[in-house]
Amino acid sequence: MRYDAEGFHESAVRQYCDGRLTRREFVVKLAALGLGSSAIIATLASCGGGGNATVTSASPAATLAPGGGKEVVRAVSAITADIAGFDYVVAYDLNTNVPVYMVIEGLFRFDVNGVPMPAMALSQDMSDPLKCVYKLRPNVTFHDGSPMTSDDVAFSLLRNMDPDVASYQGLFFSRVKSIAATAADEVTVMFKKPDGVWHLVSGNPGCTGVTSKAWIEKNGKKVGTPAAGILGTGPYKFKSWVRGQQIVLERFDQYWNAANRAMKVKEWVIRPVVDESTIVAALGTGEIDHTFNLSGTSFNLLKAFPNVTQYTAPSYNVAYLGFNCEKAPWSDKRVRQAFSWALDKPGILQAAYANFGKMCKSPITPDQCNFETDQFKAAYDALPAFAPPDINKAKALVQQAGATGVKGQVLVGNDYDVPAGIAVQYAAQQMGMNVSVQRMPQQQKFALEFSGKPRPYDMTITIWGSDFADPSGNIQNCLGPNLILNAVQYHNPQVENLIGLQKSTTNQADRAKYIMEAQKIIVEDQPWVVLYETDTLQAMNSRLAGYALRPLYYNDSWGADIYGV
Amino acid sequence: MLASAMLLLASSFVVFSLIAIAPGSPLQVLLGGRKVDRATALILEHRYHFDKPFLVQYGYWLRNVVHGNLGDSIAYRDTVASVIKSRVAPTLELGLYATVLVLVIGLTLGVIAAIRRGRRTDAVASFAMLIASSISPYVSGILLIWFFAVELRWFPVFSLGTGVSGRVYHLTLPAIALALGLTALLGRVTRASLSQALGEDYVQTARSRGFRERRVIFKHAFRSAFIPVLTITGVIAGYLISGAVLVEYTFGLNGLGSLLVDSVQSRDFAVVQAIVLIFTAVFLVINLVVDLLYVVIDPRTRLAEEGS
Repeated sequence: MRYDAEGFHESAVRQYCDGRLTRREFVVKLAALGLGSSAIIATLASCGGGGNATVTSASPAATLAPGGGKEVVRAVSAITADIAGFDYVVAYDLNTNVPVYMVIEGLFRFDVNGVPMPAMALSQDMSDPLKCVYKLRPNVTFHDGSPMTSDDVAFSLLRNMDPDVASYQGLFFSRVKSIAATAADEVTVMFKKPDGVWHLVSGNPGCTGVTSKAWIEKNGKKVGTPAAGILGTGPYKFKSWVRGQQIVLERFDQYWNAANRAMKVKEWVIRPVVDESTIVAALGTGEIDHTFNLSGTSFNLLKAFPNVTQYTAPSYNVAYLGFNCEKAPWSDKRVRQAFSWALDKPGILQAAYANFGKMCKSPITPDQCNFETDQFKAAYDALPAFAPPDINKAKALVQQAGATGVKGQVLVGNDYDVPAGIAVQYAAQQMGMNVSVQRMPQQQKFALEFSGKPRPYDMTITIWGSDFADPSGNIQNCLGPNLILNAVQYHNPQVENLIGLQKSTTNQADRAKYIMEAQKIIVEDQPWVVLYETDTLQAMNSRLAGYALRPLYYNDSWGADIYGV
Repeated sequence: MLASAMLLLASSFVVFSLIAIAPGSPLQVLLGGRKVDRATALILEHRYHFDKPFLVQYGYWLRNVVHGNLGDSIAYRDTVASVIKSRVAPTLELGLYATVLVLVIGLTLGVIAAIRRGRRTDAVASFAMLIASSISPYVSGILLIWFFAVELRWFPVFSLGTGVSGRVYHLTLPAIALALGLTALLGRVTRASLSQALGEDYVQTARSRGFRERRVIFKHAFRSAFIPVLTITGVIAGYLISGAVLVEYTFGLNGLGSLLVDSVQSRDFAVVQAIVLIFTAVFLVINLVVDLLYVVIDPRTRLAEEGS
């Protein structure tokens, strides 16, 4: 579906939000452009306000008094697609992770600030940069009652390096040379080269998830399927999975950390519901108790339901306009900078995500810098300040680059990215360029963006988020030398050198210095125009409470902290 | 039988070809957005034969199907049979429920409109059918959810429910959303067909012989008017089973329709092929049933075939 700028004299979104268009006029305009009903409804809802009226933050479960909170027999959480499989090696998306990481735990677990805390391991010693020695937690049992051993831990980590397993987490192990159980309570990882973020990889249950070697060998091809699920040590155990309908998890009463978690929900039922408006309606009627997986505009609709509490937290995700840096005129940084000057970023945040987020000057969000924090804050503050749109400056840059009159297209996948696409089209028109919005399914868009081949598009609007609370997560793969993940084909030798340096040292002060230098160059070059940073969102029925929402909720056993009120 | 087999083969080849020529490889779609290394991508390419030429890939699939193996899903890393088995029932049950609604309400409206042709009842029925045919299933689904589920709380918003009564209860709103437009279609065809039959000479003859109007309509006129109605019912039934994806999405039913769309988008070609085969087979069975019913309803069809 293509959208044309003809007759589009001013942003319809801005006109509607400012009250210069009636609702009927606005819907007619967007419908003429072929926008689907869900996009129209979402955009209408987003102009209803900033969405903060009933938002609270959950109290951390650790403050819940022992025995406090009511028992809940059953609670239902919604995800927006069926899971890829019930195995940590394929759990690498926001839907699959939600149930799998209630069952599987990693060696460490991230706290609300993204700092790894002991879980299956009590410590990780990286005093030798080519080695990581884990001391394991004693007296941990799997859900079938068998004890966790160091052989199980080594086996579980090695599955990510096994070609037959074809784990989605394999990239994180690119510098690992060997993994072995070196004592009854110890596992040692040896590296080919130092890995500056391995201490964070430990907190990702997809990478360091622990399962039973004997169980995996016994269940063979049934592992990860509805026939068997997976065996873990987490607060919940796999009970059943009917594809496309529901996954049922049962509380594991012998969980090693039960004393420090709420553990009040006896059974979690995870249901895939594709349509966000259905999730919103079902939260309102109480058929769904909980979800993480709503976009800002759908989340905003929940204000209408008094039985739903909304929670927000920062994230490590940035929405951006990416340019094909190997295709003229987008390869000229003046053209990219022009779009940065022309776009109404606060307006886009309001229309696209109902203001559930904030402005961000860099691909690296301030919240993901949890070491050398003063340094990172100073570097971020030193970046060019936010300024309102300046069309004259933007036009001048386009003219200097000789790009006036150029035609192009911007790819848009998700419904909530459509307002941003329209804003880009409008900005381009004001600068004397002709950009059309090309809508396609998100998966097809991913295939183009991450093909590893010369990209056929001019611009794309998408979201990127780091897997860790580490600033390198938002530049290393997506703006560095990785041909597959660098969707904008941005190649700056200086940046690539700095990225390589920060990855190859475990000295965090040095890493911070390299990352900040790279950030400065990237912000100047603008391969991405960062549109906004999204919030992490959680909606819950008011009969429930708990779970301190955090950016990396999808790597966490969130359900164990929720209790009845 | 041979024609049916050829049709299945041809449709599978066409679908396979369309997926193959779509932009982006299945692996790129599957792995896109995940930070996966090149080695893993190569392993998966080899495992699912994406490194082979197009006709070789099709040959692998065909050989497996002939031996009763629908292949493996690349998105779910499980057998296709396992992936689709829990999705078949929601689609069939929804399709069946919607077909019953279409038949009961559509036929009733059409008969009433034909009997009362030109009068107010006909106008009201025709207007209702016009409105119903103008609303897409997605829009009617949202409206039904908002009014009957959220506002009145008479029905649930989503899911299949358990047990027979639970299923019927949960599938009522989705079946109405799916059936609405097609009810109107069947009603209008019935009205047109029956109206024409009621104007035929043999119907006038039946009336002049003093038969009661009910007998004239249902024993004489309706039987011959039913042939085009039966034809359109067959098409409708096939569509209700294979075209329910928007309703499945709206009501969170996750049947074959939504799996087909997801699998096309993720280039999970083995799953797409299997679902297309199922839908094609369903259409063939429905057409066979319709052909058999032709003979039962109108013996002239059998006599004409014997004569020729």
